Amino acid sequence: MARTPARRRLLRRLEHAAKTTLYERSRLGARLNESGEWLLQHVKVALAEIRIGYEELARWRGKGEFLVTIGSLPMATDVLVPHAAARVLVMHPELHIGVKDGTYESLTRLLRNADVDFVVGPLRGDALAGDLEEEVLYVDRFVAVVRQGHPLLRGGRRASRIRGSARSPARRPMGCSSACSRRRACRCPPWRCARTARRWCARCCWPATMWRWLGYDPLKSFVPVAYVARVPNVLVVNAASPFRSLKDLVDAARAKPGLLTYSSGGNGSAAHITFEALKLKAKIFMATAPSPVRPP
Amino acid sequence: MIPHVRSGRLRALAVSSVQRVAALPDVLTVAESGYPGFEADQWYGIVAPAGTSAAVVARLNAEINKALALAEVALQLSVEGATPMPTTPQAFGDLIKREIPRWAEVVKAGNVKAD
Repeated sequence: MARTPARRRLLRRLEHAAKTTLYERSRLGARLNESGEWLLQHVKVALAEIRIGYEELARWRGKGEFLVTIGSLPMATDVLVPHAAARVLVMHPELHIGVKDGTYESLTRLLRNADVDFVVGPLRGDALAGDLEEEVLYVDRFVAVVRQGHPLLRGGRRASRIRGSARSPARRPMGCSSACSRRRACRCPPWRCARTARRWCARCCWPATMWRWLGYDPLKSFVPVAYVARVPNVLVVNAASPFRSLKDLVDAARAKPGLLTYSSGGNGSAAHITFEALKLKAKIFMATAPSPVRPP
Repeated sequence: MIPHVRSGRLRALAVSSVQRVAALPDVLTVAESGYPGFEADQWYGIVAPAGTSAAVVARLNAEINKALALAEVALQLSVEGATPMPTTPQAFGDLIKREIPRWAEVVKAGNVKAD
């Protein structure tokens, strides 16, 4: 910075206009002081607003591309953000989505500088800085997994005992933070103005809860047309296994609960549910092992 | 699965249908193995959007049942271990209504989660 005389002159004019010093010089070079950082942040926000203005004009002319940058905290990076982005891109192919991941501190700095439009991840709640706003998308549940016969499972009040021993809170709201200072009801497409970023997140994050429901009612959304075919499920073991009948398998499962595992065509598949029904009927316990490959 | 059972790499312990499967005549059903009344088949059917006219539904049903009666279709289905089930739309609707509460109970009891 300020390496060339022309830049130095410009900076001096800027300092004169701002009526304050904006950077400090040292033997190592020059760097922005507090006022300089403040000015830089506001200029970046202003430039982002201008960029959004241009995008808006392009849209009125019926063309153009739009850029949305999402700040993604580690817990949102695996599933939430990619699913939400994929879904929004289907609805709005003209949209460009950028994702920056990082820590809360680094992402809120980018948020204040308008380098990201909003941040998705676990919410801060009361610890939130005053210039940011939060919106809850859904509440995530933490699950504690222990082996069969673990001391935590003894006695009646299981859940509360496990919760008592866990150090992290059992429930944590997930949501997005945005730097919108004013709420503005806006009928325009959600990415068109920066201040309605919160509306955009509310929409894009629908898919987070989507997989908990089908999106249709199997009885009300359709009329039955034709029954086509039925297929029985078959229970198989490796030919080298000692089990020669279903009774052998059930007896072994009863003798050592938790030792045997089973696999199916995937979680929620018909074979998975069939085996669960068999477990209920035979009164046995057997954990499901995730299937490494999808069956044909 | 059936080719692996036939080649001897896997051993079939039971089938989930009420009757034994034609392709694996020696394999007992779960019901025969000591759990009478157990029946858990997968089934496939065709539905149309709600509000489709009864005439259209009737025509589709008739044509699909005609196709299911063809020998080539039955053969292709049997390769997958499937049995064609031609029936009326009403009977198919009753099946869906019966199946939902029945499996909802298993899903809840087994805490089954979809991926």
